[in-house]
Amino acid sequence: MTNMLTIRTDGGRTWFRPGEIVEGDVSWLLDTDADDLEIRLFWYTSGKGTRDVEIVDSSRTSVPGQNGNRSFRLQASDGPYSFSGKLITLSWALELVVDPGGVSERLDLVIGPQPIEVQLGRPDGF
Amino acid sequence: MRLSISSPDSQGTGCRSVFGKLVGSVFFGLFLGMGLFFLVMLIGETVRDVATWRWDPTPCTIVSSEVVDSGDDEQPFEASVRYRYAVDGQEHLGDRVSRGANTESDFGKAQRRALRYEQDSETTCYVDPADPSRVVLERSVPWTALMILLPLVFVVIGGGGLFVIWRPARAPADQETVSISQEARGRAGHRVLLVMGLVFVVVGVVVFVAVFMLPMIRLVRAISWPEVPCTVISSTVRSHTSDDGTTYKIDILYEYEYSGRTWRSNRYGFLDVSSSGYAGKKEVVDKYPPGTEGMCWVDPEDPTRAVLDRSFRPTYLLGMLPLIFVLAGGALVAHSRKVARKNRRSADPAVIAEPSGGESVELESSASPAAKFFGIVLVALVWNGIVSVLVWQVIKGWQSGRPDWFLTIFAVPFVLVGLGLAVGIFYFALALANPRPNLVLLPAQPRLGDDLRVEWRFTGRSSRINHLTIVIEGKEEATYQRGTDTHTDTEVFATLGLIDTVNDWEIGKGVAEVFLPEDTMHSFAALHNKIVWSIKVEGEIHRWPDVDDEFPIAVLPLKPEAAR
Repeated sequence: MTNMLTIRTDGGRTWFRPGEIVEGDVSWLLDTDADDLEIRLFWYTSGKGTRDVEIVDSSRTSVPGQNGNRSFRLQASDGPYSFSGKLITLSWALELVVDPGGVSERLDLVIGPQPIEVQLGRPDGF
Repeated sequence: MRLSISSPDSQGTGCRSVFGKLVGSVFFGLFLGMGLFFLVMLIGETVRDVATWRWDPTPCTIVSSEVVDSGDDEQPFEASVRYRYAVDGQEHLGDRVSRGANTESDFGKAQRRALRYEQDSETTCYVDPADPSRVVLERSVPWTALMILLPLVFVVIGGGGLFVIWRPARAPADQETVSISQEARGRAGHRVLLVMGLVFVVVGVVVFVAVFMLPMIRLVRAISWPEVPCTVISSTVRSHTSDDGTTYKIDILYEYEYSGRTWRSNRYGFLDVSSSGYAGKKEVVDKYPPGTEGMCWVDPEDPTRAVLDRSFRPTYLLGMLPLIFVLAGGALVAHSRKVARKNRRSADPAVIAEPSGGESVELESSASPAAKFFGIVLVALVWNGIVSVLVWQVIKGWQSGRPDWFLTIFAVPFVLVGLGLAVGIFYFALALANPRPNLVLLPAQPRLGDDLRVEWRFTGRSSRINHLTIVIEGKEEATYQRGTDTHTDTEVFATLGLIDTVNDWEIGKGVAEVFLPEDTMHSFAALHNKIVWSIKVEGEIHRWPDVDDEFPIAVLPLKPEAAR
């Protein structure tokens, strides 16, 4: 048997506006008992630079057992927006992490004023 | 809850090839081996010093006490003290003053130690209860414990390097199962920087006090010392040979009378350290052949202290060099604090939620012309100061008729960089006379979607500017490691023109407005990745360094009601 972790947002949404509440539920089916489960709302960078990561909100469940489910409610911050440039891409995600073992499941989100990430171009100056 | 931290990205650094791992292992292995070797030595020495404090205090009688020739060329003087003591009714004879070597290069130190134990006087010695033949007059203060930090730095660097090279690679698991948020936990690289910085500062301060402050204090005190006649007994240049080459020291032993008693000293000046350069020291020694009658200055409070030359010499200023270590250490400490602060807080100003007020703000340039000038002067001084040692060695080789070609060729690129820095000083000195732009921004904290108003006014002769351009620029800044070097790449993603003119009446002062698009990115500053907005002012001046200033601004996200 393999570990199965699932993250679902209400209505299957993957776009949230800055500062919005992100709600949904998680479920798990594990090979062995876990001590803790944590659902995290965070952003991370990828691209040329060394990765930066920041957990903005999280919720922990103690003694979750081998299987179960629960709902979550996490608060997004006013920024940074999801964006993509030539050097840097900033992405938001929800991640469910099992402790110990570090087994995890991730659901990518877009957080910004528009349903797609901000695309950095190069407008002319004059 | 907010936690911010960073970790190597998929671009990965680290040497992953077998050759790279081997080279890295040898390099860090040497660090670790040397560090462990000296660490064990120092710990052993400290333990043995501490052990003397458990030895039994025992009455003893001084049999003889005098300064003798130790036979060591570098530390030729030794306080030879012999004493009698009894343990369990059996009499013993001891001759160790303290643990370790009791030899000195300074006659006065040996003399002061010998004077503490007058012949036939009663004192206390300390006997090892396990072996009564092991005895000392003075228990050792374990100062060596303070030096343990130094090899510890080597151990941390060596061990850390080996760990990074050989730690198991992450399992090539499915991307979905590798936790990214986990990287925000438990990194503390800034603490290593902090420790290294503090070690640099402490070592730099200690060496600075020892080789500059103390000699200067003695020099000032010696101004009031009485002058007495003295006779030179011996004079020589002592040499000390090590892996780094041979260094030399003036050693003139002289005799003088003070308070009805004859004393000896071998102190020439207050900076009696062994250093390179034989000829200058030989010249001094030749002035004082044995039997020479001259004058010396004696400390009236402690006549064992005397000096032949109490004048200030430029070489005393070399004692300020350890300040470079203090500055470097201070910079490391400041950087580690900055990293720690960034780890603690969120990526400002991305999440600043203050409303954009209507008040304007006068902007500050990222680096003023004076800061640029003093910055390059400092860099040029440090660089050329270090390179001058190299150049001096090259010149000495050529003067002696035996030029070192390898050293000469090796020195060329360093000298060229030094010359480039000297030219840079000239360039930035000229730029100090440039007209300087002052900018006022309205609103003070602009948001995406705001109309932004910029007022500019030059101080100085703005008529010298032939062409003025002011733009608002948004750029990405990505910092990454390549090998041991840190690189930062930038990419401009937005350029919003404010003014582009050759008209004198527009250049001196003016106002321009621009709309900050809603569909772009606000300012963002994480540890390694940033979105930076700034106003760039460029003014061309014929046959003169151009005006080139940058004024950072913080562009906030859209107003919450507009974003939702």
